[in-house]
Amino acid sequence: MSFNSVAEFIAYMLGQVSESMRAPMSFNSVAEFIAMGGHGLYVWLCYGVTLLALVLSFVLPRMRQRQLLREQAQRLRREEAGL
Amino acid sequence: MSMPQSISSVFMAILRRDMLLAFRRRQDLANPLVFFVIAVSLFPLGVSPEKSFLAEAGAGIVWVAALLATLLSLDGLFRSDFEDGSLEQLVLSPSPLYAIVLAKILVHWLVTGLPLILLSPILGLMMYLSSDQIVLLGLTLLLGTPVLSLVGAIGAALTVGLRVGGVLISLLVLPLYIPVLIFGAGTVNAAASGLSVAGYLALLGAFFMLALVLAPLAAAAALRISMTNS
Amino acid sequence: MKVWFYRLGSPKWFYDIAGRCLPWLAWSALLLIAIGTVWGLVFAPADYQQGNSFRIMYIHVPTAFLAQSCYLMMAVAAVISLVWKMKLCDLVIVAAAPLGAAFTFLALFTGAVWGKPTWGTWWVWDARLTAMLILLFLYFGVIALQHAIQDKVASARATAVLILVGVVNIPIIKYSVEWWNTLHQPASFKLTEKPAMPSEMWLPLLVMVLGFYCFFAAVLFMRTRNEILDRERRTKWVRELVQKVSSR
Repeated sequence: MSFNSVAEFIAYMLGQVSESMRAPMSFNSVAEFIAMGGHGLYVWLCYGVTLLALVLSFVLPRMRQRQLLREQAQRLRREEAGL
Repeated sequence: MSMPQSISSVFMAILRRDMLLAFRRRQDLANPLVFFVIAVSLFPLGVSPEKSFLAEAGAGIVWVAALLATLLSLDGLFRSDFEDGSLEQLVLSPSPLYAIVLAKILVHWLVTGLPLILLSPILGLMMYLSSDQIVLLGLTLLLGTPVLSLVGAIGAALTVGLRVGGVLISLLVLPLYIPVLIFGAGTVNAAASGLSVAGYLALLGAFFMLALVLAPLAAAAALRISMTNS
Repeated sequence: MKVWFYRLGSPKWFYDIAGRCLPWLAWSALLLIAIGTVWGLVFAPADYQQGNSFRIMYIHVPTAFLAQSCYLMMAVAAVISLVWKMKLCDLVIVAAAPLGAAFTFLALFTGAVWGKPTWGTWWVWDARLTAMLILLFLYFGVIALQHAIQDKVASARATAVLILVGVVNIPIIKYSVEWWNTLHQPASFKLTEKPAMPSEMWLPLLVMVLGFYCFFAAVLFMRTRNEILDRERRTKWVRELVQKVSSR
């Protein structure tokens, strides 16, 4: 596949996305989807652990930022109070 | 030391000095070697003394034990000089640090690696290796142990002066040792399967050349960093 | 050009720019990963040989790419830090190392779990997995060295040297492990190398890879900003920032 411009590439991608949405789903029912043809444990284990890792990676730095700002605000207040 | 010294004279001076220092503490020299023999002996005891197992695993066992024994001895590479202050003098001196580090590594290999190579035939016999395999094992150790000393010096230089030294060196250096282990032991095993080993020995030689050129540079840089730290 | 390069080294400049890029990166990541996940889980056809377990690929490949890219990025930062003494690069390395280790672990975990239905065991000494394991060891070494040296400047420079030594070794390690693997497993099933994957299969993969890279960049920016807040706490701009935030 070769594209003559970025616009062409994006158009191709959008076409593929919409085509796949109209494409037949690989599973006929929710139960089948969860079972994953017998490989459900492995697939969901992977996706679950990854989701957990991604959420943690995102949330922990935000918490740390808030903690840092809070600590430094306290320190500044103490310094201004002349301690 | 106000006269700038030539590289070779610095090299020889450090070589002589470190060899003298090493032989003054002969007991310490023996420790890694005793560890080497004991570690190899653990495998028949822990796994199986059967010839079928030992002959197949023997080269790998000897190599792993050589690796671990080298790791044990690395902490002392720069530490005694660090503790009495002479390391700082060496780093600050106008002589090229590359040559100084290389001389120290050579002493380390002469005192640790070379005896390991000389002991390996005996251990090879204990592992039921054939005489061809024993020769090949010695050859791979001959090419590989200098690499272990060279790369290990980088780890020692990065951690000199830190309290935790020893275990941290292992953690830093073991991943870098893995290719040497794979090819060192693998060469002997390949020969057992009847494959030609010339290529593998050449590769081990290439590792040696690469380490010879680059490792002292990295170790010297690491020494400078460690010295500014402490 | 030169001004831009040196301005890049200013922590305050990075803090501001990264802060503005963050929402874009984070939302792009969410969107791309969501689309990619749904596409890969629901709409991509099942693999002929592996069945539905191949869908793990949509996580394994992005995390493996990132594990290696992160180390390479750290190596570039290490060079800049050692040559131009740019403090920002030291902070980026501190922020990136645990993140890279986490992605390496995810790649290993998903690779191992993928191996169970494919090869029947929870772990396989496959060349790729073994090389990834060694990469994890390299990350651990970097993190351990960072924490072992108290002085920040010396710690940054020692870590930079270690990272560069590691990066030189990575191709050697890869080659050695490949050779070792062929010696012991002559016909190994390649986990991620599928010669001709139909577009229904690799398009969602592309989306996932892009999404993961955006996610990585977003989290890296967040972590680096935290390091900047921490290290630069005595500077005027940080004090003003803290006061402005706390007065809200």
